[in-house]
Amino acid sequence: MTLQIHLDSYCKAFNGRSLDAALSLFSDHALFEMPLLGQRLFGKGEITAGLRRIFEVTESATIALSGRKESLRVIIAEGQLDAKLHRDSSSVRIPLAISLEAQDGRISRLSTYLDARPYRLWSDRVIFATSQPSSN
Amino acid sequence: MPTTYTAGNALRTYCEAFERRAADELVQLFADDAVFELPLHDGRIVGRTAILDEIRTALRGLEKIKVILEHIVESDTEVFAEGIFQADPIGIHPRLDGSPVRLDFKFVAIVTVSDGKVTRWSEYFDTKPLKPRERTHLYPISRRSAYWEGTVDAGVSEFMVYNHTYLPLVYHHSPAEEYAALTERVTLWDVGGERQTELRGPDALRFAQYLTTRDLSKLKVGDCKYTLVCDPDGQIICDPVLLHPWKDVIWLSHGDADLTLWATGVAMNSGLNVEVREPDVAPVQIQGPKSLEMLRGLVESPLDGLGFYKCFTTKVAGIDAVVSRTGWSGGLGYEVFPLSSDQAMALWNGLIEAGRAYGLMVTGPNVFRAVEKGVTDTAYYSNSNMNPYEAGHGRLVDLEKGDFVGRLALQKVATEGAKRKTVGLLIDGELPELEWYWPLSDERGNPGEVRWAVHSFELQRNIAIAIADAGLEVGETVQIHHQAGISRATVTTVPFV
Repeated sequence: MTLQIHLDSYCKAFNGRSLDAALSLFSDHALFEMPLLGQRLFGKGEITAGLRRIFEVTESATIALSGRKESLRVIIAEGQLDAKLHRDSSSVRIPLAISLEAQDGRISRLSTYLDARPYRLWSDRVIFATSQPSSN
Repeated sequence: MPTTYTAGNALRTYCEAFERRAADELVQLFADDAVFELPLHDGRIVGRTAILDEIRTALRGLEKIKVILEHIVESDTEVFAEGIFQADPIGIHPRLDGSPVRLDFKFVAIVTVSDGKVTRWSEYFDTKPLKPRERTHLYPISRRSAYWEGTVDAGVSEFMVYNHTYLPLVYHHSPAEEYAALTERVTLWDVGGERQTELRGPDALRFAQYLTTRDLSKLKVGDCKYTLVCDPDGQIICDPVLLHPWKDVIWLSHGDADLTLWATGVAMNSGLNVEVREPDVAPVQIQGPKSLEMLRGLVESPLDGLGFYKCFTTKVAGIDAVVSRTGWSGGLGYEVFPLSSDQAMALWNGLIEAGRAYGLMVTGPNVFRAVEKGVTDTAYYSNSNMNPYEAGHGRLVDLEKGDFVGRLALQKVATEGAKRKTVGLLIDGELPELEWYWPLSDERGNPGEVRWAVHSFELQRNIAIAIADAGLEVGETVQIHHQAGISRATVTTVPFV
């Protein structure tokens, strides 16, 4: 699987709010960075909880990529995230970039770059007191 | 130095020059109509000149810069890069434990080149960790300024309580950005916490003459004066700007002191026909070299003829107001006093709108510039038993004008000489944040204390104002004892610039 396919698969799973499909793309010890969550997440347990948190608080969240460049090791893309929280009456559009690396056919690192300051209330609390995935 | 670039070369050139703080090396990099996008700004910056101005301002506030490019994916005309930016911000003190405040964050940069010049520079990073502080916790016992809504919209994050009112101090800008805005463009300050003690009645001027230290016998309507209010022991209570906007009305626009209560008490036993009250008047300051140009179209009366320390009544953005050519920047600037808080936000919005063309920045009072210029405030005298001669304000005391509060005590100081004096200090090395006064030491013992300390952007070093033994001479060295250790300083005069 090429890096581009990894990236597109992640975006498709994210946009489709498919936790299982997204998780299947990551290696067991992957690093997931998403400023909206306020923390770097390591491993499938933390990534599960992080993505679940995003899907819980949003009514919709869609990544649209507009440009990308790829080397053998990394793909870097830019685009935007459109998201609407359940609590809000309107959606927000946030410019974003994603950097992705893979190893042995799985994503080993996915770093999202966006300015979370105006939106960090999404998750300004400790959501991962442990790395155990939430039971619900 | 090349004059045309591939995208990758442009990226590397930019990062290397940024590390060396060499903005002038980037002049050839950008196309005339280049676009620069940073999450730190609400909109994109367009044009080489504006981009270079922005870079110079950023560099003025940063040192020990390192840019690590971890991944670069490039073609001749476009590069996508991921990296880590590290720097020390200038003007933000180390933490109380002495550990430095760092600006370290990961970023993605995307650079597009056309005809050998950068036409687009976009960066993606999270600015949340770059905020100096979270917003101060608020308590309902302190009043909110009439401009509260405007300052919240502008991103206020820290206040001080000033005259029982929240006074916005910190916004989401770096100290260097705010300093540049004040010294090169124009700034808007919510100083609604700067309250007025109004003296009204046929004896208002006589009472002001008794309450304050300067001679007001020649005061005319439209005059302002920087003056002092002292207690019977000659110690400074506050240093208001006195305005005489109308006949039989005096405003003492004062710093953080219960001046209206004090004046009310003094008036009760004065036998004078004067009313003392705090009117519903909350000023803003518009300070900076572009302030006149910006205000000219908003102020109904001709503003160009308004002299230093003069005021008039007029309309500003359609709002009835007193305008004075006063302020706390040590440079060109004005204060606008809307005659009712009900109109304060309308005034604020009018100023914001008019300021767009001049790069107006909403900031707090700029203590960096004030200290450079030797402009102090009530906070400098508080908790010190300081008299005007010690504060360097002997010129503001007129012992010959007749009786006034504190006269006898000040006469004694003037005759015997002040035991202390106000000095400047040029400091070697870094300083933590000043949260209480730092003692000085030298071979003679403890010759005083630092009362204000900041980074000077103009001198590019730390400076302080101290109250010290009268015998301390310019050129002598002292030690400053602060919570992060000991710093060496050289005594100098105030102002610094």
